[in-house]
Amino acid sequence: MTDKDYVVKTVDVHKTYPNGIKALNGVSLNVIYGEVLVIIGASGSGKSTFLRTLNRLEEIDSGSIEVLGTDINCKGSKLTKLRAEIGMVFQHFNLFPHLSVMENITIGQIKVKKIDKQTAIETANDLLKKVGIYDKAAAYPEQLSGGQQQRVAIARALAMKPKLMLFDEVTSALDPEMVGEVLDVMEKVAKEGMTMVVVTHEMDFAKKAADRIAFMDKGRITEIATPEEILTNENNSHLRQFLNKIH
Amino acid sequence: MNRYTKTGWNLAYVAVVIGIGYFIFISSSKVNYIWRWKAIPSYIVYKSHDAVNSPFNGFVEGYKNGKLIVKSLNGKIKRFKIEKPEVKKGDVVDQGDELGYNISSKAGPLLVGLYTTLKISVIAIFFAIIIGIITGLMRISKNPLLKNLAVTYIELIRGTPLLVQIFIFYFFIGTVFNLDRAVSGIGALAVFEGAYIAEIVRAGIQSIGKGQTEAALSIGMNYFQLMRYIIMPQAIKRTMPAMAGQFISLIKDSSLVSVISITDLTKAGREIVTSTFSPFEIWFTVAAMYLALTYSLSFLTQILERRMAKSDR
Ligand SMILES: Nc1ncnc2c1ncn2[C@@H]1O[C@H](COP(=O)(O)OP(=O)(O)O)[C@@H](O)[C@H]1O
Ligand SMILES: [Mg+2]
Repeated sequence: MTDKDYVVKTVDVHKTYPNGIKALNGVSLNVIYGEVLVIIGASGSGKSTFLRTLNRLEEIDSGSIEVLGTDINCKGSKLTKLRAEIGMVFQHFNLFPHLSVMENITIGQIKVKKIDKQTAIETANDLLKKVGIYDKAAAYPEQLSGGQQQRVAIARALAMKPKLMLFDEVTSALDPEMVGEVLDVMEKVAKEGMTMVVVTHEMDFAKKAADRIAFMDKGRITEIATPEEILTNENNSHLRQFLNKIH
Repeated sequence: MNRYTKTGWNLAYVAVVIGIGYFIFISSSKVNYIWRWKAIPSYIVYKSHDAVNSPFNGFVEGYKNGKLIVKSLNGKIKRFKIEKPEVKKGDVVDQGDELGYNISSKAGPLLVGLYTTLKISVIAIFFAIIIGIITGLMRISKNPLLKNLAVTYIELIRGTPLLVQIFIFYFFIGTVFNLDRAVSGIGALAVFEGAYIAEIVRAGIQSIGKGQTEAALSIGMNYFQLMRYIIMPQAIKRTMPAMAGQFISLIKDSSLVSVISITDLTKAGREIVTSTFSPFEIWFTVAAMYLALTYSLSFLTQILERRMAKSDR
């Protein structure tokens, strides 16, 4: 396998927050095209921090990160272009409350990618069908349920035609009855061959959709293997404890 | 509080207001002051008599349908629109004689002053918003140069009296750059209010959650797009009440530019007071005119706020 096959390639990444908390303590990890990588780990183990370093929402102290063949340590239009190719979905949706669902999905296409409005709307309509809320195009985020909002957020990210999608605990802020509808959409996206890095506690999803699962512990990845291997792992006591706790 | 006690308190309020009014009335009648309210309206709007003079020698043929018909010596007939003719049929008129006059309403000095105040305020608000947005953004910038410049500006402006700033603007900056007194006055106001608007802008931007910035950056927006399409629209909506308050302050503060001889509403009031003996009436009238201006503004912003609130539910 050559470097070109990697969507994400990180080497020995370290990150300490200004308050002295060491969130990442040497993370080296590769993701190949079309792979679905699920990251699990206790709260505070550094999963979000790691995910956010991949599109440089968080700066790193040392090590290196290459995404889609570009060093993440770039600036200006090179950085914004790279970010546009990396979709991100957040725990708290972060939809733009002053924009309608349609505008949420088209604004990036129109303002960032300079796509004409008509094409952008067509793309948005296709995506709204895909995530199952075609009838809500004119609604504002506030008028939608949590599950619907999160599906709009996924559509907003997909509208940029990203080559990599990052999901950060996208179902943990949802009422239990809405978790399924969001996970279904994510599975659909995975089946279409999207490269995905997913932080989640939903082990059923991980079993079904993940090619590999990484276990994060105190700022390090201590295990990375197929779902089966992870779920049956007996050597890593922290992993065992973690899996027992969430079941 | 039940409905009846509430009504009771409202009645008490009316009683107290009437009481205060009566107290003012009694006290003022003790100071041996002659109230002359009658002349006051003419300082706002007055009737002007515009004379119409004959352009030639001739005589008056008659007056019909508000028009005076005059025949010149060489037989030419001309009609003049005149409300109050001062000549009658058969009169001989020479060139330049007054045929009569029309009455028109003209703005009195107080209304002219109000217009000046409004004009100064609108222009100053426009520039104050621009200054406020730019320095507000500089204020939250991570770049120490921009940030420190903004902080220095805001602290200097907020730490000194507006009156002193107006004098500095007029006597120093105005002299150095050869500025018109109106420009000095508007400049001083805009720079002064800009510092306060900067703080409102800063607070508004910081009140928008970090998640909005992250979502915008993650779809590839740059700083300008982030501010223009995501942060500012939300921040402006949130800061509307504070902004409206600041604009109202600006209108009131604009009365200070009268010290550099700009004939705004306050200066107009002062000029009338020196030529009449009715300071009480004039200042009450001036106050009422400011109130009308500021009240209309707050009424407008309330409508605007309601409409904005509707637009995003
Ligand atoms: N912005 C921040 N400033 C300071 N500390 C932070 C910040 N974000 C996260 N942390 C700390 O870094 C550690 C890792 O956090 P995070 O990456 O959010 O973990 P996870 O997503 O696995 O729960 C935690 O101890 C957390 O308190
Ligand atoms: Mg997290």
